[in-house]
Amino acid sequence: MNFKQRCVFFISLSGFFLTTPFALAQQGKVNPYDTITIRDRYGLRLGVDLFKPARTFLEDDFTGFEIVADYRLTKKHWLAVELGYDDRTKNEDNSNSTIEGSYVKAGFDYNMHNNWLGMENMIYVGLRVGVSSFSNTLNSFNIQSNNPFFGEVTVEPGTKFDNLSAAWGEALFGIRFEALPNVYVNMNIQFKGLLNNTDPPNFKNFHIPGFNEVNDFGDFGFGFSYSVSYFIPFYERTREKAKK
Amino acid sequence: MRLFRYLIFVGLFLCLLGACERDDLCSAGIPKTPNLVLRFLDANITNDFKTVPGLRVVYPEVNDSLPANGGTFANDSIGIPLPTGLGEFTTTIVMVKDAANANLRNPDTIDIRYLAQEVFISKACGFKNEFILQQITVRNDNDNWIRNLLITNDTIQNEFQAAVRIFH
Repeated sequence: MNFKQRCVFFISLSGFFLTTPFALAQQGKVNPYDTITIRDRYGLRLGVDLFKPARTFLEDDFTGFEIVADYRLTKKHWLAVELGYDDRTKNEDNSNSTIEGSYVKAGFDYNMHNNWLGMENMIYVGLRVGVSSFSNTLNSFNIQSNNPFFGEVTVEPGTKFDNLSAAWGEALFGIRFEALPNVYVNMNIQFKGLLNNTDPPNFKNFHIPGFNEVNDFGDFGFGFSYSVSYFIPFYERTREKAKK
Repeated sequence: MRLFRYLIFVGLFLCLLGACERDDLCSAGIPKTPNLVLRFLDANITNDFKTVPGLRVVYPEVNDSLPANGGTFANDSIGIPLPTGLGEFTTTIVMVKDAANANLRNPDTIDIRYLAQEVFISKACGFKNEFILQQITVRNDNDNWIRNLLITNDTIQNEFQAAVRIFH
């Protein structure tokens, strides 16, 4: 029998023995011995994304990191913030550009999962608003000719466009579970929609830090994250749970 | 715990999906660097279009010439490529009349001075050139079939209009 089953058994057994003499005398009344005090822990979770450092190590064209934090507001609501930095070089067929900048995302997570006693896991949906400030450097590009007579010409201007910014909204779906005491693993997928994007004159941002790839055909994007956090408990709130 | 093991696998699968990007293609239908469109008119009756018989366009700078049907729209006009790049260029093009006939063959050399600017198309296509014509002249060789050149549209962004009218 695992811990959960043992708990339930013990509670049922003690409940039966303790309430039987009283049940006949007091029908319809909640017996004080039946109530179990449940305390929910409230605090701050701080962690880092693991995919970004892995990609930094494995990919030549990418450097980045992300810090995640969430803070419990109510039994099922969390305030969540992500802060990160991306340095990505986009080597396309006909151009090469480097986008470098930082971003912050903030929003709420709602836990849809009903935890069993002693568990603190989450299956959640969330919303975020993200903003990013970045620069885009056009390293090189090809000039396309309609006529194959002359072939392609490659130009290397190295122009840097500074003070670019973008804003977007996200809807997330993910899980967060306690892998070790107070250590939580988080995985989520994000569906993003661009709200505002400043493209450089006569060029385009192919990647936005925090938003990831920008399409030619739409303002939506997609992301996936995997992070590990540590929980710092601040206080506890009791939850009264009556059992008949 | 089994639920979470299952979710881990789902998570890894979604991780692979995250690496998927739709391939943007630069389709052939998207207009790229426009050709220089020349229209041939009668030097005497300046509103009539006049075909140049046996026209051949030679680029001495690359030691090559356009194929017989390269860049022709109709009998009285032709679209020819200009060298691409960035900045100001001067290029020389030889327009040969009756190129196939050894007796009537008449080459005329044209010098074109123009400005080439880059214009962004899309992520898949990259950039194209747009040209601003500054000067177009014919070299005098005492046997010119080209009487006059007139720039009608100095900003070349597409091939819908002729940029230069050649009177002969």
